[in-house]
Amino acid sequence: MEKLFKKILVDERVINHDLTKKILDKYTDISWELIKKDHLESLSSPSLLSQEKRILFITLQKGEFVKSCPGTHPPYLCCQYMVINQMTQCPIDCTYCILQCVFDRPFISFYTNITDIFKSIDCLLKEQPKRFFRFGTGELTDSLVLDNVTCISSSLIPFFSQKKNVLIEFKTKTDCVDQLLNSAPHHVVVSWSLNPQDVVDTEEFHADNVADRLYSAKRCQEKGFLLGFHFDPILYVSDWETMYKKLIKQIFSCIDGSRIAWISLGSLRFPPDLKEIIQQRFPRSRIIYEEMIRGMDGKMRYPKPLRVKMYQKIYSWLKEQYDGLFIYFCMELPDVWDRVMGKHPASNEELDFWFAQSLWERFPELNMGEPKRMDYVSLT
Amino acid sequence: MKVIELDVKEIMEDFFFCFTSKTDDGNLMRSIIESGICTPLHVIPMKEKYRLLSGFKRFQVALELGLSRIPVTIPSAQMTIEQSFRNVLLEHLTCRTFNLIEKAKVLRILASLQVPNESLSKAFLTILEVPDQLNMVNEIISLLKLSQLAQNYIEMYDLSLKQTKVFSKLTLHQQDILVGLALNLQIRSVEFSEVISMFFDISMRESISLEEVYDRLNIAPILENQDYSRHQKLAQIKERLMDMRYPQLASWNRCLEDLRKKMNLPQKIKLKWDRSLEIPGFELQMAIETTEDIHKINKILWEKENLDRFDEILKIV
Repeated sequence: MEKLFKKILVDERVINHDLTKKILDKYTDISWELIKKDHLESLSSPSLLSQEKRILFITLQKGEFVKSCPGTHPPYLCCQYMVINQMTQCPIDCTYCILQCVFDRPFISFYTNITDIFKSIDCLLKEQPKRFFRFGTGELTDSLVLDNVTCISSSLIPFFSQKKNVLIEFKTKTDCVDQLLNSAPHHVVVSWSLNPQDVVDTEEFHADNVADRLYSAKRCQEKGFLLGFHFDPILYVSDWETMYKKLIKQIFSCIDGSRIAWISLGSLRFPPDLKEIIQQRFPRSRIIYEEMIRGMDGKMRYPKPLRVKMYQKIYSWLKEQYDGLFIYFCMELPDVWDRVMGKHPASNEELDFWFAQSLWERFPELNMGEPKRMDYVSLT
Repeated sequence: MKVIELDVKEIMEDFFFCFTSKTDDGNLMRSIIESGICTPLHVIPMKEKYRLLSGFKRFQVALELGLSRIPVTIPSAQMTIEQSFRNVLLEHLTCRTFNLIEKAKVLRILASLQVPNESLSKAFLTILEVPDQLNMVNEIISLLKLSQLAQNYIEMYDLSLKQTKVFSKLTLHQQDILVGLALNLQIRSVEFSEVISMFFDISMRESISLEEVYDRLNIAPILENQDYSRHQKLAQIKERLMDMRYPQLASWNRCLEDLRKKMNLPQKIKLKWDRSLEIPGFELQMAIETTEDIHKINKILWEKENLDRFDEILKIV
């Protein structure tokens, strides 16, 4: 990855934290500034998004560290994933990124009080001891983009390794796995969001290229980590069939399908307001000009028959490679599931249960108890 | 402030302070012929002559009628040009609000007068109801760079600043084409924004100019057809635009329409679906008045061909 930051701001409350020191030691070539507690508010002044992603703010998470994935509204199905927000905002800056209309703070925030994460998770596990939880750090940022600097994976993995009914997923578009590879692979899924290289070139400028991502995936697999892949957002671009088919072949030419924990499919979707932001920030991007309708959750999406057509193809190409894959949709309608997979979970809770069942059946090393449907209840 | 009479020749034909738009002055002319100029013009001394601050229309009519003397007021020597102009604005604002183009013209005048920012915000922005932000002021002034037709449209439909944003993506020529269409069909701002967005999206997706999109739509024959009402013209143009913006969606919907037609359903049965095709399935609405209706409907629904058509429909929706 290229040099990501031009400046570091340090909240005075975290100046003595080990993680802060570790980051500052690694970024010796970048100037940093101490921010007094009283001046924190003034940092919220809006600035250009392209600028904001070049400032790293090391601070304390005062809100909730661990939350249910916001997902989307019914009738679209979601998987009851749990998100850990140890960092917010992402320097990779993909054209389609939803974070562009989520954050108004002018920097990437990294929170050092990670022991609070552990407390929240322990609390959650205590509340529902029989449920299998999937946690991930890649919802509001890229999980590994700063891992070589923050070593966050080394802090989180030992905690999760000792727990019984949990998995942590590190979701990335980078090849930054060196740090992660120092950790034991227990209860960890390392996953990559993938798009064809042509799409990476036009829409994911600061992400690593597909070959590098896959090489990293291979290294992780060799070390014993479970893998995940996210075809999300699937983009309707010219020649998409050839490109996605090639991508899938490329994945399975180096990855063992039996060690893939899950694969998600999700087509491009975004709140209507994002269109104008993309127009302004990425005038060369064409993805927002395809045919899109306003879904029942208010988000813009491709028309359903088009989504189904794309999913059917991609699903069949994946299954051709390895029939035992666990494939799920992110934010899709039950009838889309039916048309593509011939089945749909009756609810978000059932989808959550499907995950647990699949992991229990395929990966005995997770030492899970047999999941029971009744243990999977709504999180909201 | 005293009212005096000036020789017309003493007043410069200068429109620096004019910010109102030209209108049909027939009524004004009649009134001046009958009663003369009742409300004096505002002028300020300049280079041994006088410069108009307000009363541009009355001055024009006076020239056309060949009047030799005109009643005017001249501000006291202590009053600055800024203050005098502000008074003129206040006078206007007592009887009406300004549209965006007028505000833009006023702000441009103030910029030309090099009114300091502090004075601008204190003395003018409040009365003009413009937010005290320099970028906003500049944004409003930049509306005067739009084509004359676009400016006319903004005035005619009293567009908000947000609504004018659609023009910023268009060249002057493109503005004229689309505003011409909007004026022709009396398309109001919200609908017009949607139309422009569709034109723009098509041109971006297809990598063709907006003019080419307009040509491909072949709008002229619709506009020229005397048999169509304005609403019919607009509906047809919008349908063509939708077909071009959403070609696949349009084709699926047409396919569904064809299947519905082939089913030959009686009027009492309405088959409906979500045109965006997102809501799964379709709705059948039936008005039942007699038991005979039930038998008829039952028969139609269970016909082999119709069952096949329902299957076809369900494959799409």
